[in-house]
Amino acid sequence: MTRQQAQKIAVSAITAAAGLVVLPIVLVIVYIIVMGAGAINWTFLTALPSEGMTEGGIMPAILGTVILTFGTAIVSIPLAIGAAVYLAEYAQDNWLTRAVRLAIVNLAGIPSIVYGLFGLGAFVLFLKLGTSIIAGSLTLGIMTLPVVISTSEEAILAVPQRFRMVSLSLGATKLQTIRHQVLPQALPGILTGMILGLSRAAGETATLLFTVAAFYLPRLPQSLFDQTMALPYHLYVIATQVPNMPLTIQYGTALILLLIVLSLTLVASVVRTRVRRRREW
Amino acid sequence: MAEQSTLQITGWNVWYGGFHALRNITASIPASQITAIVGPSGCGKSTLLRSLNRLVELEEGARVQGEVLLNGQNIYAPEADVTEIRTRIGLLAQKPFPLPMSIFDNVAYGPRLHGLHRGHLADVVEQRLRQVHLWDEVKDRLKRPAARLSVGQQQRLCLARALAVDPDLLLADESTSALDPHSARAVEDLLEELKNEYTIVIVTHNLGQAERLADYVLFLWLGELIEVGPAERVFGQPTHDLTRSYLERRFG
Repeated sequence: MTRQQAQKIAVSAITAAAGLVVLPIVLVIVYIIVMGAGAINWTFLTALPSEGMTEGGIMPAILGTVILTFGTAIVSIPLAIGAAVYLAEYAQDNWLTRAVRLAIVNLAGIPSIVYGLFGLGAFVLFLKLGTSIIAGSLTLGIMTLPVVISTSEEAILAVPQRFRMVSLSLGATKLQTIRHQVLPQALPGILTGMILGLSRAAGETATLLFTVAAFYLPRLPQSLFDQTMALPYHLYVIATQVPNMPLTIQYGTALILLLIVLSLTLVASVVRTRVRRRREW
Repeated sequence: MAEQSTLQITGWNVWYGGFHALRNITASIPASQITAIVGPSGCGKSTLLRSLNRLVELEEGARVQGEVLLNGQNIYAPEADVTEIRTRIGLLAQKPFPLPMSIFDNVAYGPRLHGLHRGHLADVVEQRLRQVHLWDEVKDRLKRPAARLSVGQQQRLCLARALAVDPDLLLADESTSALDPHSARAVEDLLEELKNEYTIVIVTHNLGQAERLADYVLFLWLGELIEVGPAERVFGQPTHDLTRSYLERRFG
């Protein structure tokens, strides 16, 4: 075999590997659309479930997932950005910094079911929040922290040092420099991390199990201390726990969940390109 | 007109980790003149310049010792307000670094930080852009990104931005080396105009430029101050062998 042939074979193999990465996502999306699109209509989106969930709609689950995603954002984003700014701009090599980094690595490695049990112990029982939206949001928020912190820190570190120097040389304080130069320029990266974290939270099941999710709750949550249905858990329930469940409803539910997560990602990339276009350097 | 500022450097040392970058520098820099710091690459020119507005201490592993007195006040005193000091000392960097915002916002950045000129910011921006002869070129596109300007225009914008916080002292770190000859000359002419109002310190590799601009010269060699004095004397009759050989090699 000549070197040229080896080259050709290698390039083909590499290209094939890259192509194969796309295949599963396309298959999953197409399959779910084909199987589930038939279920989707106005009633399905806006009605409460009825007849033991085999009829009616999934509105409480959709709403629950949306609320939980917002709740997760409110819990995790301020904490994560604060921690990322600390790590990127202020951290010195001391015990606090090492503790924070160790915590982040470990938080990222914890299985979601363990988060669920932690939420049950800490928020539901110890803080007596009950199985509630607030307990679920807190648990999901903590779970989301590592990814948002790491991506935000990277985005902050990627802001060229010269902008900090310019700002400081004009007499800005460090805080003003972070507020007016660093954070605005790191925003696209921070948004990416936020959305990555939130879309994972939106699809999370095990974490919700003990902290917030209702098996079957044919009404809307009344307060933050109420339980709610949520799409991923609902999907699990109707796929495994309910006999004689029409397949289209199952796939329809999966499709809606997929659409919510994908639209989150889409919004993120639109915002990101917008912000990036405004700031040229 | 800005207050006439003098700068006195006494026993000044800078280390980067184990590297002794500046050794026991003592010099005074006269008011309302252009002082040029010259010397071969790596001799500590930029370090000395960045010592004067306390940017040097932001470098990784930097340690300083000595005094820098601005109008009699030690800017390295523990009670000194570093942001106030940097406000009084404008810096023009080697390359133009416009902030990723509009032309207007670049000039307004400093005043906004300090809450200066509220309500008539537009006048201040216009005045500063006129001062650097950029107004006529940009007055119709103040809201456009500063990064779209030519490099020469960007450098003048950066000068306007530095002037907008009313500094007493202006530092220029090889500020023309990234520019084409025409733009470089425009910046030189500006510094010449501004020296009546500001005490100016420049670092330059370009001895021709130092000769054209400088009233006063500091010659550094491997972190030590070798010779200092009025430009005419240092360039005309250098007293130290190192200065003489450096000047001769450059002039051929």
